[in-house]
Amino acid sequence: MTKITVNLPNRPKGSMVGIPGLGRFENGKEYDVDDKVLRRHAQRKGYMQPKTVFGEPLKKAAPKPPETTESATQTTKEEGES
Amino acid sequence: MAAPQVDIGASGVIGVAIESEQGVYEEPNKFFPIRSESIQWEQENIPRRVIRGTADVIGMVRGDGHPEGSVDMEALDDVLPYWLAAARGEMTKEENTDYFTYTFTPSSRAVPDRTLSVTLVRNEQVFAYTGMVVGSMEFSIDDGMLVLDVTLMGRDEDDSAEVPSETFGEDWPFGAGSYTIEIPTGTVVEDTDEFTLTIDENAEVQYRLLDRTGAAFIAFGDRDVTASVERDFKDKSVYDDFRDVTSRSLKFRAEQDGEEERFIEIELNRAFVESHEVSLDDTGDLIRASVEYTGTDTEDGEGSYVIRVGTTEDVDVE
Repeated sequence: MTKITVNLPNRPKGSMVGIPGLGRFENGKEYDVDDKVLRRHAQRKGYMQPKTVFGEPLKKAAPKPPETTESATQTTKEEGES
Repeated sequence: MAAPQVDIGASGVIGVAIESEQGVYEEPNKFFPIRSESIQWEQENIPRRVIRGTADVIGMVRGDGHPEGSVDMEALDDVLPYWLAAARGEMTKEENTDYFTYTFTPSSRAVPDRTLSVTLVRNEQVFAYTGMVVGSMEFSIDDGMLVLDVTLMGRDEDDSAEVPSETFGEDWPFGAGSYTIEIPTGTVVEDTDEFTLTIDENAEVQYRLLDRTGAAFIAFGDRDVTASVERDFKDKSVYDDFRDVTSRSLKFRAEQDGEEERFIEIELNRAFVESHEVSLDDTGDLIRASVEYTGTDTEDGEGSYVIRVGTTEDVDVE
């Protein structure tokens, strides 16, 4: 299985997006697609490598700023020690 | 012997992108279904017919070239803002709770504010046209469905473009039961079955002496705005408008049933009857009137028309 991203910024999040040869997907999500299906799609399109991003890559959530409370600091230290 | 690798038209793909820099190719980020297209590379090479001891043309010299043609499609609210972005006018975008309203008003500028890259895939071969602008638009009703014919002219073709990975939304065309016609604006008429509105900017390709092929830009000329309707002939009110040279405003609105956020609305601010034809054609025929209007600028200079589009499509037109 290969993970593909379907993220069209000009379409509403959650609306359905059709990709001929692959199927229908919800906009703004990642999906696992069978490698054979993805390869066949790439061959049909003439790509050298199967495409895994349709639209734009999903923006990963920014890392949370470090907590300032005492307990949070301790948790971070413990994680670092292990 | 292997079968020839030839596809049918249905396998084709069209996609557009608003160019960040005019004339520089951008991969399409909007794909949509069309009924047909006829965009061609127009190039007039110069035959070398010279006096040199032969009656034949002895060769060919490269002439100017540019892409040009039309796209015939269902009028889709999620696609129209892309065409309007490259048309002669100004477009504003208003963000509502879960949709956008685009308002397009015509301008009198000779050159467009924005251009499009239009990518076509025909039999797995890519044609990447750049600097494309909308020269004319025609909205009409075809068996109850709202359709749009867009003519495009562009500057050049990018030979390095790759086959795009197309994705399609699921927005639906406007069909029977979606329409409201007001003549004048505010008065709904329900005796019309044919409606055609044409906006023609009389665009012309502009070649300059350059160190590269393709057009320098596309220039807009005079604007012609016409609307035609077929109506049941009930009285002489429109006929009188014609004879008295009385202007009216016209409004056409297509709205998806149950989805008020999806609409296309076209308003002619000040239209004069250009022709009014009514006749007794045959014994069994209804008596109908063919009326053609010419859209004109208002006395306040608001422009001859305005197009409003409601859609969930978020088009970057800033």
